[in-house]
Amino acid sequence: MMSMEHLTPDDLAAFLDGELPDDARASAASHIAGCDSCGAELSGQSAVKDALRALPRPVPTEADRASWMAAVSSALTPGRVVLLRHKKTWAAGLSAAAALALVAGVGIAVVRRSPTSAPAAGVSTVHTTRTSAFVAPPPGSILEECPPVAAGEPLILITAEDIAQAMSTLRDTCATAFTREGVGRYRRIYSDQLSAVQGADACLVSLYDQTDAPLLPVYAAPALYQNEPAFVVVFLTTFTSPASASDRLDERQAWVLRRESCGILNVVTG
Amino acid sequence: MTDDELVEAHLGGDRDAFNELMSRHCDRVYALACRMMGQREDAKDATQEVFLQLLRKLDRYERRAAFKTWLYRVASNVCYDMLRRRGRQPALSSTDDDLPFVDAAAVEHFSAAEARPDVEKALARLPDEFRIVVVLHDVEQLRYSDIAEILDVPIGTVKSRLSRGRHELAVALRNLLTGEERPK
Repeated sequence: MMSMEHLTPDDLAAFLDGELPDDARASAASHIAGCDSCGAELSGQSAVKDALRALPRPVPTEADRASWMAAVSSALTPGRVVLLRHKKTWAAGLSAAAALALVAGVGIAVVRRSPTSAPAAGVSTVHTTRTSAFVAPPPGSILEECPPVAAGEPLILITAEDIAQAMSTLRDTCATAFTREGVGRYRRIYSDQLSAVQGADACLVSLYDQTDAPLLPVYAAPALYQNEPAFVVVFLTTFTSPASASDRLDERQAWVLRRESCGILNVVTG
Repeated sequence: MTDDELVEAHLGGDRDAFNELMSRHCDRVYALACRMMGQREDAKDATQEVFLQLLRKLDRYERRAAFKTWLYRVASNVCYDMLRRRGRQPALSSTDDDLPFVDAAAVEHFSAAEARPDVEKALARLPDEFRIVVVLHDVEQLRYSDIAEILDVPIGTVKSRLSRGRHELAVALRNLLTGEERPK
């Protein structure tokens, strides 16, 4: 067959790469030997392949490697928490019932806390780096990316316990009040999403609808705004691509509402 | 120790095991990320994210495939997600079956050495789903079956994206070498 008909580009690729079965390979070789068209296509693919193989391999610097090692070491260290800072004075305490909302795909905790709160016990290092998982809000959204944390600005630390409490309330809310049609198909409970956050283990419940995931922050913000300025921590669940029903959540992303100057801090205790 | 033994050691509480895994593979991940992200800073972020994800997911590694294959899978997904967030939506679609037969006359030969910057430029412009296959095969030199496993697609899709990717590269390179911009 193959020796009579032109080879498809796909089969020529497989021929070039030694990925054709033995029997097909022999007839393909025989055809190519006598076919200028297939020969030219094969040469073209081969030239591209050679050019790609000749590319120099990018090599990270020692500083890059050290920075990755540090990030992993930090993640391996127990007691890592995700905090927010804010300059304004808020009513103390957590108003979970009014402040929690749930929109398909997003677990949202709104946390308010007094500025006089003491830093979390054992906090020794404050990193103001924003993780690569941080996503700029879509244009037109009422969300916006926080400005960088300026040196010397007073910080309000929301502790892991605050997050745990908010997430616990969120779980309850979710279990009792969430009936939105269309999300149920994808409803899952992920208790491991915040497993790296001390004090928040097994306390995050999240629903998500993969089809809506990229738009969720837009949906989420109006639902929880309620005319009250507040810290808003949005744990937006994402999925790996290509998406499939069996994908697990694998990233944690944090968003904050605009209006206030706020930032996201990784605080390492120890 | 093998990669799998290091995974076991890590899961058993050996804190050095993960660092060893990372030392072994970070160059590989970074190289892939550079080719996929097209920007060094993004590639650094992606590499870090890959290892942070790996850390969280290692207990789910089922050893159905080699650790390296699984690592590439995580890395590919991280790059895809970052590209998507950056605003370059990977056009994962069913169009692979509708590809036109490659016009052999469109492909002209070029010298690999003198075309290097153009090759990189053309590669960066390839659609993401083609670029990942081209990079995994022609740069990282993986087998079709491994790439199919990494991307969770049939081998036929790997083949077709590879040939299509190479063709687009050939056309783009011809345009770049003759001073034409590739049509958007």
